[in-house]
Parts: sequence; C-alpha cells; structure tokens
Amino acid sequence: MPILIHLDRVMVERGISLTELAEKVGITLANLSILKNNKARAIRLNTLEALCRELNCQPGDLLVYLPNSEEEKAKE
Amino acid sequence: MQLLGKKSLASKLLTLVNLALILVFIGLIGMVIFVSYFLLAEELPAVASSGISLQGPGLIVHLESEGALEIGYSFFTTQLLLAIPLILMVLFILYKLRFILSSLKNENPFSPDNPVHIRHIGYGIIATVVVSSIAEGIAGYHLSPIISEKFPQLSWQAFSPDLTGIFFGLLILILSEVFRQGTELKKDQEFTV
Repeated sequence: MPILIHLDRVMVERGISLTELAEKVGITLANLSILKNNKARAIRLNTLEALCRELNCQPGDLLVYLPNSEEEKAKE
Repeated sequence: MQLLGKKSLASKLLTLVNLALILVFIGLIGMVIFVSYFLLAEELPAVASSGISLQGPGLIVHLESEGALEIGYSFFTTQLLLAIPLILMVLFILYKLRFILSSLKNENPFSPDNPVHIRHIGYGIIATVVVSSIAEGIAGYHLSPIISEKFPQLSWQAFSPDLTGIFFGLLILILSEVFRQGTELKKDQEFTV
C-alpha cells in the first residue's frame, strides 16, 4: 500500500513506548503493532484523532503517501 | 443444532468425510488391481448377460432377453478405465471438502484457503460430470446396437449429458468468488485499527 505510517518515528521523537501509547489511545497492543508495522488496511478517524491527541501531532506527521516505486525503495 | 465448532454438525460431517475418504481410497486400490487383472488376463472372461435393467426415479425395469446378450470386451475395458479417473475425482472432492469442514470445526469459516478449496470442488464436480457423461456416451454407443437387436420394440435415448451437474458445478464456482470477497472483507475488518 502506498500509504505509510511513520508511527515509530513520531513515537521516538515523543519518547513514548508502544505499551504506553496503546493504553493512552485505548487500543490493543496488537492493533497498535499492526499500525506501526504498516500492516493495517484501514484506520478509523477516532483512532487517528486519539493518536494525534496523545502524540501532539497532525495526521500528516503520521501518514505519508508514497507511489509504489518510492515505497519499494523505502522498504529497502 | 450447532453448525460450527467442536461437537457440531460440521464436526460430524468431517468424521463422515474422513471415513468416506478411506473407503474410496480402498475402492481405488481395489479398482486398480481389478483393472490390471482384467487387462493382463491371458484368457478374457466371457461377457454375457441374460437381460438389461432400466433404472429411473422410483422404478427399476428388468427386461429378460431370449438369448444371452453378448457385450464386447472393449466396452468393459473403456468403462473400467474411465472408472479410475472418476474415483480419483471423487477422492479429490472429498479431500478438499475435508479442509473446508475442518475450518468449520475450528470455527474459522473465512479461512483464506477456503475460497480456493470451494473453487477446486466446483472444477472437480464439472470434471466428474464430463467424465461420467463420456462413460455413459461410450456405454450407449456400445450397447445401442445390441439392445436394438434384442428389443426392437424398445425406444430409448443412448446419451443424455448431466446438465444439472454442470449447473451445480458452475454455481459452486460463483459461490467460491462470493466467498473470496467475504474473506477479503473479513481481512479488511481484522486489519482496521
């Protein structure tokens, strides 16, 4: 999927762990891992809202659109 | 009645299918041995019948002929040879059905493999119908001159392909695609955060 989620980068910048963020956002650790590892097929707006609230960022800080070729390069 | 899970109808059907798989497999081995013996026999068995039986829904008519009906060796050879692929196809369908019932027993009907198994069952049914229609066609070709000679008053049709079987095979192919889309929806739901 050409949409990538830079959750790990923002988490490092804010100094917050996955467990802590999962508790604050109110989703399971498994679901947050799916999001962090770019395995998610869809994200609910209320989840995105909670993430932005807890990480004090904009949706654009978390989501990035990369065309397929660039995505492949990014994965490499 | 519980349909999915352990101690459900699916679980009982799985046991039946497992049993049928073993029986059909034994039948296949028996058939291969019998065909090998039949084809390799130096002196071929005499093939004769005292009459013919006509079977319809709810009715079996047996017609006795005055003399023995001499049926050619090639008729039995082709019928026996066609029986082996037919048994193999039944085994294939039962084997695929086993996977589906197993996933139903484990309460995972939307397993990603199930649409593929359902599609294969559809192809298996169509292939079975085609091969059995060929066998019936060959039987009709071989038997029609003998029966016409012994029973001239009898009017009958030598070949009628099983269109119902083809229809159900095609229907299963369509349902497999519906199931595939259902599996995709479930995956979407699972990976929505």
